[in-house]
Amino acid sequence: MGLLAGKTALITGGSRGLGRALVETFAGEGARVAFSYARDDAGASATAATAPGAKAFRVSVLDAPATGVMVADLEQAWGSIDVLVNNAGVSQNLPLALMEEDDWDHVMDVNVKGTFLTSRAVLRGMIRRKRGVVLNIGSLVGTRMMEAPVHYCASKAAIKGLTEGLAKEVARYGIRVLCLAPGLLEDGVGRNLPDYRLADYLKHCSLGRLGGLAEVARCAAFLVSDANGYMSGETVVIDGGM
Amino acid sequence: MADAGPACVVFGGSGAVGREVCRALDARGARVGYTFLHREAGSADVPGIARRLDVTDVAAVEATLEAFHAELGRIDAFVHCAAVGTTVPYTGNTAHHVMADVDEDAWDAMIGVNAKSAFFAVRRLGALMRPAGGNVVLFGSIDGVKPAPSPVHYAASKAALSGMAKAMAKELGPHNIRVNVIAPGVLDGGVSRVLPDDLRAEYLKHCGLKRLGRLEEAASLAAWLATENTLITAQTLIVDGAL
Repeated sequence: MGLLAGKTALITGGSRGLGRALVETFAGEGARVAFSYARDDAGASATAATAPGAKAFRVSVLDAPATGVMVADLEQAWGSIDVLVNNAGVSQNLPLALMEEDDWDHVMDVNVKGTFLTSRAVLRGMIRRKRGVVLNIGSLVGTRMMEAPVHYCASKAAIKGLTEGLAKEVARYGIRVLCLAPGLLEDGVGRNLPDYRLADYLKHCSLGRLGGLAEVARCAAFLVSDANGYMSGETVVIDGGM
Repeated sequence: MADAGPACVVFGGSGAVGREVCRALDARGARVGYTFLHREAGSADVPGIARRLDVTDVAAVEATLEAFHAELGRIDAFVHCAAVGTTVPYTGNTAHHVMADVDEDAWDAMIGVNAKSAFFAVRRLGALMRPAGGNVVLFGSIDGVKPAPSPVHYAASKAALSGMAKAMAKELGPHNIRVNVIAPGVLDGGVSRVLPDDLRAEYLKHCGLKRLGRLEEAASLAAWLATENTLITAQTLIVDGAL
């Protein structure tokens, strides 16, 4: 029996990368899975193909009304949403001096406000049912000093703080809140790094390689499972040992 | 041998945490070898090959690991659960041992069991686990990572594990050996049995989930790290119910 047998899970940002791997892995572990995405219909179809029965919603994490409708639909269909993974995230390689206010707002909005809005929508049901798990996808750059775009660093540090505050707030309802913070992945926001930066990263990484999407997704599945019922508020760094 | 489950060695396998770890590994299809010092009550049905070991005896630590390696054919994972929570005679006081209670012998005994044994075990495993690599999991404690009222020598011994894990991960990473620490809060068994009642109440007041952790909740993370983890290394994972 899979780790997530009998569970229902909503994953944001499911049309590519880690989101797609999460959908596939959670479904493989026995969960009923839904995912949202902002624009990429072709990517969403490719994700849906990896997880038969997965529900896809073209809903931006910044669209609170549409998020509310999506959550209501899922609760109607499933009875509950047991697991929420706030995975949707964006970055741009920009030095601060060249960063426009819109650039800052876009990254902070999608990565932080989107996590807030989706969590708020899903938590109402979790609080009513007194159970649930929220897993936020953070980043290594939100936990320690790294050379990375500052708006992205700030947004991921905010996710760590949000995780800790929310964990304290909703623990009384038996709800766990966790953060999984990957280092560079094979197919993530760091894929546009210049070669010299990539070489430097690999030199300092104990395991000497980038992370795979599937291995991060498998870790996520364990973290949200009932087997891990006493971990909450924690940020788990998965980076090969930087 | 190719189809056999992962070979896992557990130090302190007859203790409260250790036997749950052995059971969780066994349930995952692992082949388990474990050590014990005094067989603790309730440990008769721990699955795996049992060997008696005093973990403060460095030569015996090495010989035991070599024996398990020979018996199991390889070692894919190691979980260090052997620990003491107190090295000062328990007086029934409601307070934990303050520094004035800890003499040099008590300090040495604590560091010897909880920290030194882990170093010498992993020193040997660094060679035995090559070339395939594997996972090392050390049981630390919340006392080693967050400020909590606890015996200072206990906190130091557990923090030592978190520190050594980082450097071990760097040194052994190129050999595909990952080293991590689990830092549990107060569990419903194990060393927490020496926790005074007033501190237990204080813990529950501040713990978000308002309950002690279950031994099997700490053990399941250890078993996952031992048998499934491929990318996490140098980390201390806190399992404390949002303390």
